[in-house]
Amino acid sequence: MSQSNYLSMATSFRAVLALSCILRIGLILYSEWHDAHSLVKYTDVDYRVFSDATHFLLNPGSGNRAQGPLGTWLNVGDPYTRATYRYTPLLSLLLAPNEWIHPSFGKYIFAGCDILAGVLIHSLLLSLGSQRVSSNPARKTGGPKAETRREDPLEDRRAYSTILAAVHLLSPFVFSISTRGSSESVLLLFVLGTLACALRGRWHAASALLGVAVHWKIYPVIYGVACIAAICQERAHAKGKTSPGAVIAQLWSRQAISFAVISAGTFFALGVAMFAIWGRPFLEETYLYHLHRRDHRHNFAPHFYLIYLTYPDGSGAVEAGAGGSRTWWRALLRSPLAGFVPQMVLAIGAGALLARRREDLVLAWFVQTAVFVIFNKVCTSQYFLWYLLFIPLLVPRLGISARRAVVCATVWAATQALWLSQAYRLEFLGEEVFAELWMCGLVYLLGHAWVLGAIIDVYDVTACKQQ
Amino acid sequence: MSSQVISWHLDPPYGAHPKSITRIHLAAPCPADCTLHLQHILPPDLFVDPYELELYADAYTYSLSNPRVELEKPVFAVPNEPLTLRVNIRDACARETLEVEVPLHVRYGRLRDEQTRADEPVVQVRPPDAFWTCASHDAPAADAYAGSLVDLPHPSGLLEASPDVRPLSIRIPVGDIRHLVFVESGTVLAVLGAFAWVGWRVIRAARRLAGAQRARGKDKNE
Repeated sequence: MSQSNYLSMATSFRAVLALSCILRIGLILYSEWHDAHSLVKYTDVDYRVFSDATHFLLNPGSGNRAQGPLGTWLNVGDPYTRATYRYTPLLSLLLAPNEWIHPSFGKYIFAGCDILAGVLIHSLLLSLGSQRVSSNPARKTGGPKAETRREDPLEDRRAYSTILAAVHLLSPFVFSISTRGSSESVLLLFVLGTLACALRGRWHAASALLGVAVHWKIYPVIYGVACIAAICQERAHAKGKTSPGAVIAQLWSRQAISFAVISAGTFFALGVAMFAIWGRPFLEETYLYHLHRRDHRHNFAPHFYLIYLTYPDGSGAVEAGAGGSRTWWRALLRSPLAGFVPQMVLAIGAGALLARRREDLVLAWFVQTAVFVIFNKVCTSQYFLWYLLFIPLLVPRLGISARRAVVCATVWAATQALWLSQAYRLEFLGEEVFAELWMCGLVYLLGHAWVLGAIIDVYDVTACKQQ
Repeated sequence: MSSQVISWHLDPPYGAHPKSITRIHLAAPCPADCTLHLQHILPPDLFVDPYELELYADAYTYSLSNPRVELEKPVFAVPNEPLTLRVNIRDACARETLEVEVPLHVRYGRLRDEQTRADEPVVQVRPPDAFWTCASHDAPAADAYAGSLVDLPHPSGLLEASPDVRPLSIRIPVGDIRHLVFVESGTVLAVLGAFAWVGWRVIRAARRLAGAQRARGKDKNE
């Protein structure tokens, strides 16, 4: 077989898709065997939470009934009977086949969402016209001024799109999370669907999907800012007006208002329906919990140690010694606003400033999501998926040298590895390394912020318009 | 050899997730129509996850003095009272020696301060009590279960424990309140530094995008 035939086979999207499906099915089957024979489970703790919630929902009984006005009439159980279930009831409904067909059914759903996301990524890359950007060898800083650019022939574009889609489909990070039973892939499919509709100018569909995504998890609300910014920019420029005032005036355009109304309407309609059935526990656990959660146990975000040191005792008073002299500036430093304000200013500001056209939504959403994760007061590995999703779509527009890409990837991974080395000492050896772990959290925060800045710097603003 | 608790240990005896492992020897004949129990009385620094215990349903069922165990708070934010866990072993008589494993978890401890800076934050953990309950027997003397917080229906005899079975200590990781001033300012400085770095990159990119947009507009007009 010739070299070009091998290349053709290797970059066949069907082959990548088949391999991805086989991999995921194999891992799910393995997880059943592993969990039955080992007390250290392959399956994530969260999957047990979802499955238990589904069981409670489908098996109403004494002390387990939906608490909304319609709940009693429908005679359904309360998924929030399960402690630590903090998701929409739609997730537990989605996993109903776990009770009827097989306990691993949910994992197949999550893996299927992975696969669909990969198909969508491949389709978007083909339609966006993925182009290789040749970096200037004389450029030391890895800036965005690519000198040589060309349209790839169709075959090259298909191969390139397949390789990039494979980055998602064959990423161990992605397939291990879904096959272990984490539900992130469902939300990411909603996000990707919203982006696909927005990139194709189907704003009504995008706004409805955005409403569903925000119902599933709150953070995608930040994408609405970028979408409305893109709508306003495109409308103003279509009229030949470029001033900031002319762009802002488009906020009152029918298109911008209908986007906001449809997305907000979808979100509230779903919320009202869920509240009508499941009542206050739905609001408390799905949304309000996140306003006052205090994650004092160690996670990547350095905020954990501050939360632990200032955690109120059983009577609600701040731990003795931590109160001390509560000057106004110390109160501000400890306030949740100290982290929330920079996070929101950057997330919203990036959406407003970077979404100049539909084509720039990929960059805008990537930056918004990365900022949200980096500055969040709690961060676990699963959160990284939220912005890694956009990497395959962003790569064609990055004028980055191989060397710089390796440096960025190394910093991204090494800061996590450093943190994990200390977390292991605390979690599994019981060593008192809170200060060391906190410092590693600072290194993680600064390292990931540096990588994000480096990626923003190499975005090619001269990429051709969407085909 | 009569029925007795041969050994008990925490595995590992450090870290946030030790397992309580109890080995019991059951002498023949094994009492019919009786259930073997293990009763753990855990200090507030340790807790069990009821949902995790469901994974051991093939080996045992369980009951707790407080079914709504707080899973997400440090020790000083939960009531200062022990948690009693009673494990009811299935088919105990099926084997002569059995090993019962109970997963435990450690809460973050009370913060170290100027007065306690040299203290070793260590918690004593009592070994579990093993006993039979049989439907046909009367209740034993109450003092055999001193300190128990769980009502025991017709308990019929405590198993002896070998001399090797004794309380153990486990180190609890604690933070240091004297770190607070550095943590407060360090966290905020890092956040502000990262904010300034990323914010400046976003503004620069926005300017490049605006420039490219203007250039496209000019090309279009021409």
